[in-house]
Amino acid sequence: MIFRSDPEKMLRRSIQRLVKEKIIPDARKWDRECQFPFENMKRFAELGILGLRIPKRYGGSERGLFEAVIILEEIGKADASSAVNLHVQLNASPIYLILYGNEEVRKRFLPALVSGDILFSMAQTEPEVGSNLNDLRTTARPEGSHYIVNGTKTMITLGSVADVHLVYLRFEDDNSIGCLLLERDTDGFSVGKKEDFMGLRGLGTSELIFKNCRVPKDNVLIKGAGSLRKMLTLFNGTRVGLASISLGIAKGAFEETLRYSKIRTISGKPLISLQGLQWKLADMAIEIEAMRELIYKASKDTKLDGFPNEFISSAAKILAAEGAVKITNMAMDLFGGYGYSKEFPIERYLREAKGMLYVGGTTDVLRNAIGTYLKRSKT
Amino acid sequence: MDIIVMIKQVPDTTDIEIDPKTGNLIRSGIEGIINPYDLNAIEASLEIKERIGGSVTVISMGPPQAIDAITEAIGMGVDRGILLTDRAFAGADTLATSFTLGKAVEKLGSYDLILCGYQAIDGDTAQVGPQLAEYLNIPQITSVTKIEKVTENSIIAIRSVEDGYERVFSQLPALLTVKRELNRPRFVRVDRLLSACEEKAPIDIWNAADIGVKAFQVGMRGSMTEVIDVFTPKFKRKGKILKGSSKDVVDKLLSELKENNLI
Repeated sequence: MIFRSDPEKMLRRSIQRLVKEKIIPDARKWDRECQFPFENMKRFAELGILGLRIPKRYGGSERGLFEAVIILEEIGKADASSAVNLHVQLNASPIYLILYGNEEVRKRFLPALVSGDILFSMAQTEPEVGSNLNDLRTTARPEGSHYIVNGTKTMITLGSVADVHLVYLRFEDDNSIGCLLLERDTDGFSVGKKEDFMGLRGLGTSELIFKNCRVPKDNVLIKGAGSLRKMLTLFNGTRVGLASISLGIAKGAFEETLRYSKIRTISGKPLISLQGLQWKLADMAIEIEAMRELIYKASKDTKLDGFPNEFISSAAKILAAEGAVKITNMAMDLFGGYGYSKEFPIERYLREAKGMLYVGGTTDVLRNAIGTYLKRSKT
Repeated sequence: MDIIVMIKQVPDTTDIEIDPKTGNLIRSGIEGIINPYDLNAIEASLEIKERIGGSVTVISMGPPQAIDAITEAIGMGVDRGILLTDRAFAGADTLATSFTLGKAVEKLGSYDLILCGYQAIDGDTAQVGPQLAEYLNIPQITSVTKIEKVTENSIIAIRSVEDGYERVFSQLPALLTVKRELNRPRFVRVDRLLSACEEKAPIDIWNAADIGVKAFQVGMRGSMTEVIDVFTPKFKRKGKILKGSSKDVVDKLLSELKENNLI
């Protein structure tokens, strides 16, 4: 007789225990002090979480986007900054390296990520062009066995702390848009202004400045014909990862509110017995269920070489990011003045939910992606 | 060093509520967790293994869903798990449980050390560990709060007793029951946990026939005791106000306490 435990349930439960004992207690501190939660990243490495999606031959466990979604959702309920930082390691830069890096570079960076010795950033946004890939101003000029990188990036998550930056830029030799890996100790590289955000304050977000940085050609991941398509496909995965963090924020706020509505009484009656407030709670629950279904579906959709398509991934990110803002707003209404107080976590949830509208592309940009998809699709 | 850890899946009592009408525990929707004392036993086994090598096997008796306890133990670092599950095992008291576990240990063969939690938080008997040691006819050290020294063939442990601690030496094989103070159980590693959910995971599932027992020897039929009823005791508070001068009140209070055998 053979039967086994349900992996989703076991994974969720183990992360819930970690979150309860190790992440919740310090979440307020990271936020208040605008600090990057290094301790959490160290824990993620120790518990095999950083290696979740890395191939086994580099020390990882080679799991998919769905497992990442479960983990990020649970961590997002407690501390969205830690979840976003983890997301970049799970679903963003290392995936590029796995798919497009050469073997030497993979061997150098992937085991180091699994053990938590290095962290990646993903540097796309620029001051003058936002996240418009076609118009990037950062350039790579060939010089022997190296590229010389010049330019500035802004609003880069993990910018001030990452050891390896995945930099989107224009290659001058073939005028293609692509990306390469640039290490922190490269001459000419510096971290610029650090952001003092309203929420998501533990991302180490900063400006990056490249002045004649010499990067070995081996570090090039994507370049040449078809590079844009490759990068856009990878975004489909990152959107779903970010959506799961918004889902976590929304669920965290909802669970706090539901608990509060049962114990907080007005004239002897708990809030939840008032019909007007029941409707609000019902709307929150409906929205969360819809978000969850769409995100899980997208995370299991692997038709595009392991990635969901641009419609479902963008739809999941929009629904979750906007839904989380709505839900955290309603949560604050239900908490009233207490929700506005920093003594309760609701105000932080709301600030984090707002931030998730902008991380990884605004919802307007994502609607454009859906528009393009619809224009192309058969009616 | 081959170590066996006995674990039990119990309801997560931090979430448990009592039905105000019936006084019974509301069990629906309650997650099963590894008995907290057993987590300390697992942690101790892993620390010993890390220090002097060897292997750790967990054994659990329970319904099929108790496999989650074994999966989690493997996630923590245990090498192998055995789930004893059979309808015939249901309703076992501590004696039938320890007999069943003993049979599984005999089937496994050689071992150096058996670790158990001090007690399970649902039954609170603290009997299964000692009974298992008796069945296997090996020395036991109960209520262990510190493992001072382990070698290939002996152990020195500190056990808590009513008025202090005892330092006990034993030859191996031996059985220990451990308390919460012993250590802080580690978290599961996600990669190990997910592998433990796969078909090829090192988990065996044994029924009564596999361990060579008859239905009348185990479960309710093999039990010497039977739980007739589970109930929440009803406490009635009785208020009494003592009047008079401070001295009179104190005297009255003292005599009341003495009369009721409270001091």
